[in-house]
Amino acid sequence: MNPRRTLLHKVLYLAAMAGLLAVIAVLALPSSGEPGNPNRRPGGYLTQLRDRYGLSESLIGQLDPTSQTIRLATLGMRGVAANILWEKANDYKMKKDWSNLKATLNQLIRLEPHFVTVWRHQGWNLSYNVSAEFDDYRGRYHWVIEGIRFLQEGIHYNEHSPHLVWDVGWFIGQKIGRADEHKQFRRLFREDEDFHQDRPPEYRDNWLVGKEWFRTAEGLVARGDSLKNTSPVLFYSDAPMCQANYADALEIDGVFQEKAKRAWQKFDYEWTGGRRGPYTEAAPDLQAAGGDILALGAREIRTTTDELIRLNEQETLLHAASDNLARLKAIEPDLFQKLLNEKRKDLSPKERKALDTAPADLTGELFAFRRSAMGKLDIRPEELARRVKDDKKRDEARTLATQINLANHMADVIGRYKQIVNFDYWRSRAIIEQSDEAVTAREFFYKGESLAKLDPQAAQEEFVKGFVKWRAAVDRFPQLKENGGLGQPVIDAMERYVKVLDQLDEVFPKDFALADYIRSQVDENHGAFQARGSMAEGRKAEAKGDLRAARKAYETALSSWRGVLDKLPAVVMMADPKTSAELLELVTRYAAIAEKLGETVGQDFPLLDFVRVQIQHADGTDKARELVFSADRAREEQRLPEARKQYEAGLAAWRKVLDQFPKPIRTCDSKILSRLNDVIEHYRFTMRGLGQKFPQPFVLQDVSDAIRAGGMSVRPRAPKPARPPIPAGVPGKLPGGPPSPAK
Amino acid sequence: MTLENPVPAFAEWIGGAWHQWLLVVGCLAVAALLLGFLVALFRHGPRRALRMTERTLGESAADLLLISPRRIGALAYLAIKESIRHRVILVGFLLFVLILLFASWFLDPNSTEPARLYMNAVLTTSSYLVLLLMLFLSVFSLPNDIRARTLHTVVTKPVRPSEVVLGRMLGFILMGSGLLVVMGFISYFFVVRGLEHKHALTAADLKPAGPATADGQPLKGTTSSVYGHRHAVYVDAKGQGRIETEHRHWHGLKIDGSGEKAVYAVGPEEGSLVARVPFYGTLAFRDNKGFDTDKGISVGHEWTYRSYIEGGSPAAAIWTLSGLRPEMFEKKLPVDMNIEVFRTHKGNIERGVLGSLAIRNPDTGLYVEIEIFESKEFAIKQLDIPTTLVRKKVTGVQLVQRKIKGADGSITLSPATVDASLAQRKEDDEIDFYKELVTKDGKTELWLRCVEPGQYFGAAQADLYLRAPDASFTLNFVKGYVGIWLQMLLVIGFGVMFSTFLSGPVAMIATIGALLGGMFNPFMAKVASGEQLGGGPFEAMVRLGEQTNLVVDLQPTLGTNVAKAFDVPARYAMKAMSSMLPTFGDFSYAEFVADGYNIDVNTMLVRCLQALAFFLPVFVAGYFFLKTREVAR
Repeated sequence: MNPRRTLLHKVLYLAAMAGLLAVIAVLALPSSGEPGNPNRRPGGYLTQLRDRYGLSESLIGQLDPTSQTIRLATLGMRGVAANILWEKANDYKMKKDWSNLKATLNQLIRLEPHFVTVWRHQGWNLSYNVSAEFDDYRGRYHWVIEGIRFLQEGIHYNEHSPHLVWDVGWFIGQKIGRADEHKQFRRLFREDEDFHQDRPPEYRDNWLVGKEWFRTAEGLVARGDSLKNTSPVLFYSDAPMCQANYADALEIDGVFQEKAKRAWQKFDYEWTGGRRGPYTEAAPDLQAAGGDILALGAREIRTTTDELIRLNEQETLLHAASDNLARLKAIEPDLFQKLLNEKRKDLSPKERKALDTAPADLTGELFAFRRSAMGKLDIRPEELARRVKDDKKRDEARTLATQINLANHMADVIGRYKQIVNFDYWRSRAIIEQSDEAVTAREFFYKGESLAKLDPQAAQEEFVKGFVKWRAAVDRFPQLKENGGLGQPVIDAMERYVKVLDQLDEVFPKDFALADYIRSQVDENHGAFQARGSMAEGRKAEAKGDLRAARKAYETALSSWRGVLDKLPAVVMMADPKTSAELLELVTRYAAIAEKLGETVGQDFPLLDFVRVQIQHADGTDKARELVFSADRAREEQRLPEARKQYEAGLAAWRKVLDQFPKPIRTCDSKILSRLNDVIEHYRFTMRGLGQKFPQPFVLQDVSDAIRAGGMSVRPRAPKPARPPIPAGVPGKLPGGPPSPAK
Repeated sequence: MTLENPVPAFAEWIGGAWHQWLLVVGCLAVAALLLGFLVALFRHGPRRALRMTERTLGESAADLLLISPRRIGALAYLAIKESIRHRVILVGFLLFVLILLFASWFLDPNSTEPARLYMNAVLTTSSYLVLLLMLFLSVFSLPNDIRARTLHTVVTKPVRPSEVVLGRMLGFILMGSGLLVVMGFISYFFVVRGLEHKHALTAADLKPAGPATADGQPLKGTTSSVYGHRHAVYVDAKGQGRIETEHRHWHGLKIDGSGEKAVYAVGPEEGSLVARVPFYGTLAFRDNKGFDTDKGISVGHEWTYRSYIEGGSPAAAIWTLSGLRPEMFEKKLPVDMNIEVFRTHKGNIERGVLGSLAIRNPDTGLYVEIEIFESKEFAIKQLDIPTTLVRKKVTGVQLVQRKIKGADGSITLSPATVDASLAQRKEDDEIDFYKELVTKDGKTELWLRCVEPGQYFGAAQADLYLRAPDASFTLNFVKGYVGIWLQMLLVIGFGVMFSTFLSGPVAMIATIGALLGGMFNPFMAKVASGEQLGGGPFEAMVRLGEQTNLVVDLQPTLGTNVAKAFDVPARYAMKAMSSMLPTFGDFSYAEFVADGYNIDVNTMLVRCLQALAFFLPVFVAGYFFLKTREVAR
């Protein structure tokens, strides 16, 4: 090849390269100016496409040189590099090398800046998984924030992703506010100057900041960005739920009165639009402050079947359906009853019997027949319309039937969507929590909680006051009983109260203010329904004299009640006298049958804890304890004759207590037996000290026999040596025991 | 610092390593000789083959032993000139500068350990760049000379082929060394300047920290935020201030004046660029029944580097330190600990889990529990133990015998008997560490226990050590570059060796193959030994095709069985490869420098000898390969 030809080739190649570059430059010319700016230049064709589909940064100012450089440096091997980095990140995580993990993630996201899933996955990884590896809560908080900052950086690259913005809101709200160490996290978050920068201190609450981000995400969706597969009702519920959590957290932190009330008012406004709250209507400033924020209940939501619903409209629709049904029935007044009678005739005898049986007496089989009968008796509006004789009236009836069906259908859809976010519960809760009584009740709960460890007696009093106040709050809004009557704060308070009672060895007072709510919770429980069914079957079998069938039915009932008690531990502590009586009847009947069958009740008895509480708090138990206590004191002071007298009186008192319970039940609990064993042994020592024989027959002979049969030690338990306390706070020195004694 | 493969002590290592090296090199030499003889036998018959072998041996001995340093120097000079002429070094250097110029885009100074990131970045960049440059230089040099017939001119002079190979290698090594020196110099300043920062602190940043005393008002607060962190500041009533450690460093604090008029001057960062000198012990465990065991409990972590001990039980992690002398730690024993915590219940989340540290004399069983401390994860916890302990200032003094269970179930106590009077101390009695807690041959034990039941401590051998006075960071940084230099030495060796008989591009692929093989040597060894999940290379191919993950058993089909059968010889080949190739990762000291640990003489010596042990046979092989070329005959 001659030099000239070579030169020509070079020139041609250069020209081709320049030409291609020019074409690329024109196609990919970056845009200038923000969207909406009249002077904005849209840029080249590729830029416009990117802009349209939100693929990457199209503005010059948005281009990230770091990301672009690293992508270029991989020379088209971006996928391979990303895989290697992903593996490296996993390895660093496994080896707990957090600095290198973060550095690798930084490189990774620069390779794939528009892969939203990577941001979300690794953001979660940092905030939830890496943070959990730290023992110190400050270290955990640091990594929670690292994850949040990571997501915030992702938003910079993916401005059209409401999911990333939503994630930030979720992490700030839920991770900080719901973690085990939420008290510490919330405190650190409030004090985090670097995170908040210019945010005023009163807004530095994680729930409020989380809400800000949820609102931003809502703004993106309003601007046209896609929610993709996220449920809109869940998406739009998060911001108001943050407000509810904020209001709740205020009271948990001990902030009450106006501030707490206003927080609940605001939530009411954001949840329902304030239409139903008795307080928010009187707070127009809230509505003004809300600006263009649309309450969840008033927001138009598209369902998966492409229907538009508003959660607030369910009652209106049901009301309209009910009115129309009344109008439909009025067209031919006797027709409805006539149809009902016709349908009743078609029912089977068992179905008719089930319908005639009182609901409380329904057994499992009859219940099923009743349900089937109710279904068969259901008269649909179009059925009614079809049977109208007059042609003109029939047309009117058909129109009404269509309207009723449509309204019922929409109400049903709304109902299902409401359940997703527990709409009615939160609506009721918002109303109750705004009342003076509820705020005061929560103040009492707060005091009770604070005193629980230091002074259980005082804590118990505070809790009781709180329950009374809450009762007053609920009584003011009887229509809300169904949805928010008890509410989570009361459930939490009750859990704590049960522990306090346990500490004090007491049970719920007989006039417990919320006893009927406990009762209603028991009634709503499916386990209780099954237990009652089994109990009814047992009674029938017992009446027929079939003891084995009765025992089986009672055992089923006991097992069902166990499930109920596990969910409602307050019932064990006699929170509801009616339920306690019901349980006691079951236990007594079961024990009586066991006795008749010559069987014993063992440690696996399902309601052992209930029986124990019953015995511990039966009539005469206190007196028996007092007598034994006096006897113990006398024995310790070597006043043996007096001790003997007191022991004998105490044992006799215990006899009376135990006699209140059926035989097999008296001696089934090892804890009770263990306590009585101590008393018997102390009495035995006393008698020995006096040089007298242990009386035969012994007053608690059945207890002694049960102890011996159970292999329980006949010696009184030696008091356990107290464990040296571990110093709190600054590490100190402990009298450490030797790792192994030298021989 | 995690030390998954600790470097063996030189004295213990050299004996076995030397014999193994001789064996491998000898076998290779004999194999090569036999191969040469067989080829000659096949081509020229037995008598001539014998003569040729004898002649080759004689010539080779002369070529390898009678090397002239002057001629090698001249050839090395030629190689350097050639490198300069090709401007490869200049391009490499410019590339390095360019990378450093934009490195701040990729390095996050807000990281909790910025020094680690910076150090890793510069050492890795330098390493990759130098290795790549030297690879290109070494593999293309000889083939180009042969093609351009430059080498023919050289061999007309009285030069031996061994000198040609060695001169070329030496020239490139010198060039690379020069480049590394420049890179190291620039990197050092890049790291130091990159980490440099100052925090502002004003009187308004400090708030009262308790009631005022006659001396003044104690204060506490935080500095301004720089590089994503703030430091807690404490000023006592007397006006003495201290700045707490954050992001693995702290700052000095100078206070002029008092009250609102006080002026606070925060000094430059300290403690991030260090070279700790650890005095390690060997780790053993004691189980929750009090018996000695090699390992603690697994808490289910995927990474099994650390073993765990159960809290509130006799379980302990025991480090045995040997060779202690009073002049090593005269007044105090500075203990550095990096303990992991595993909680099985929440416990008190406001503070760490409590643990205890004790010292025990292995001969007498005297056990002194020094103190109860609060755990701190992912950070070095420092405890200073005075060499003269006072009874009332320690937590407990007892006699503890270690219990060793034999294979037959018998239990041996160590020591077999103890003197009970040793533990009977009055409150003011002193316990001399060196006299009472160290054996005559300089051994002592450090016992770590977790105090809280239901919680666990995790520990590995390198997690607890006595910290001798720090070494020079600058010198440690230089040692880090020596590691890169050793890697470069091997790459040049392989590059020149392959280029003696392969064309440039093929030699490059072969050298890259050797480099990658060396980098993934531990992985190859695991595949060869069957430790790696997923089987050998052929089974892996089947899994790839079937998209089956590594842990699922393959169906015993014909294809699978054939693949597994092929894997048997493949594994042998991989084992042989992994034994012959140097483990490149071992020569990198980046982790030591980045984590702030001194690279000790032992490590340097072992690694230098390992590099030399690979370099020498590679050079000899290069010589023989060149001898097969017409130009060198």
